[in-house]
Amino acid sequence: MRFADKVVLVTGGSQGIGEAICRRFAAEGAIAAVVASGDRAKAQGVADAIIADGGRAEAFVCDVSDVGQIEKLVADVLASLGRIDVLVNSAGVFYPTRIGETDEDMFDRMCDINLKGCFFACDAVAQHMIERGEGGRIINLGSGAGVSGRSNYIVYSATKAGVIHMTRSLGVALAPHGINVNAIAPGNTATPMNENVRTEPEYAEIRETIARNTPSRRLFADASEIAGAALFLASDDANAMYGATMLMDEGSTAGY
Amino acid sequence: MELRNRVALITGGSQGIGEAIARKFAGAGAKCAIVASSDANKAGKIAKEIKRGARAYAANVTRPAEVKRLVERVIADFGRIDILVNAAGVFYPTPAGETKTADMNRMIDINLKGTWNVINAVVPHMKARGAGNIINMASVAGQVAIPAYPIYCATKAGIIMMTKSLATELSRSGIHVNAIAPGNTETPMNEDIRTDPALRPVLDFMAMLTPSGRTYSTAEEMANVALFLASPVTGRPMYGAIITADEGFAAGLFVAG
Repeated sequence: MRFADKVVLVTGGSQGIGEAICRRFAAEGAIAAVVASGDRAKAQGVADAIIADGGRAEAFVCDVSDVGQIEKLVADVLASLGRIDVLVNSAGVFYPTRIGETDEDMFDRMCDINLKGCFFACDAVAQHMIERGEGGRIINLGSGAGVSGRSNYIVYSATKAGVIHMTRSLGVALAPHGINVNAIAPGNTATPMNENVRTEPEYAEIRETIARNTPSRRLFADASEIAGAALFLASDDANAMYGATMLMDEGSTAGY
Repeated sequence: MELRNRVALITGGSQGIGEAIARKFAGAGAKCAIVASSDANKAGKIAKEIKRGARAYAANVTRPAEVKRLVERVIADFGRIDILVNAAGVFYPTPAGETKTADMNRMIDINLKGTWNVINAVVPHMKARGAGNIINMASVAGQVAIPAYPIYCATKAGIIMMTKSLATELSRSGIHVNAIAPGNTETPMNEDIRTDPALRPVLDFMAMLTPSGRTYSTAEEMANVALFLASPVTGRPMYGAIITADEGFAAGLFVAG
């Protein structure tokens, strides 16, 4: 039980990669603070499933694009669970932002959730970790799209490049406090966020593009595999890592 | 025991990070072929300690024919090679205008060509089996420059791009190719910097650039990363990744205030 009694706060924890991260931490003894963006019932569903498996979890709700809600979330988690040992910033949105088809609201919403939300969650939790003086772990979700560009997901790729680079600065800023900040950059991973891409006929062309650009020929990794990296980064095995990004993308961004 | 009965060939396995990887892999159930650059006894001592059928070899990675014979012997002894770790390498300053051609050539021959020679010899075997896992030891010095080590930096940057190119080529054959970029790690290769008073300025320089305040990581910590990459479970989506484990050295500058 690598994470016995550790409190792990996971934004975007009610589905996809965040859900897989909650489940795997809980399976190794952690108390998962499962955060949904707006629908508490979704977070409660994940928490209930964890509890049914003999784990510990509690549901929370927070729209990370609202800094006030982040501050309230951190206060609520501390009030209920007493401390935060690990923060995983998995909340994010993913939609196309093509030239000529992207309005200001689409741009702002993506930046507010993916980049601003990540920063202010780090900010709020890091202050708690510094005050507590026992170090901590922060894990941000970048993306392969933050390493190489995406012609149809221009703003998404920019926010994820921002997360990866922000992780470097946060890694340096918080290292003296014993807080390891690192990122994971998943490639295509089977989650509800891309169910349409994986299944719907109108996305056939995108699937062909993915197939062409996935050297391993495994078009979608499992969310539990990405969670494996989060557990690694939160464990003592990653003691030497600060500001690093683990690329887990079936080879898609190494080249062509 | 995530590497139960897997066969791992580890160059530079008789000391430092390579040795730590051999110990870690053996602890996870692997059978290790430990390769020293010239002194098989050094590798033999490690093999005896870690057991699990580990064997010792000596091969100069700069000589393709010698490497080919090594690979043939390891396959004859163990039946196969599942994992290749290229940890053989040298580290010394090569300041501009003060470096002998032979010293420059030696570093490129061992660090860059040596890594290639072993990969080139092992890949036909892995391709035939449709599976394999190759881990190269790059360095944070292949990502951010340090003064007076231009050739070391260049060889390690070369390993990083070689890793990515090989990943695109070999993932199609079920072969994972990834790299670890360690920062300063406590090994015999840098014992002089850590202990020699004359090299104190180098140590102070490294300390100043290390955000975590831990100037040297341990070799075992690098082995932890290697195990993550080598494991068929945790390493499954990973191809062409460079895992930086460097106490924050490459992430950027720590600006006080």
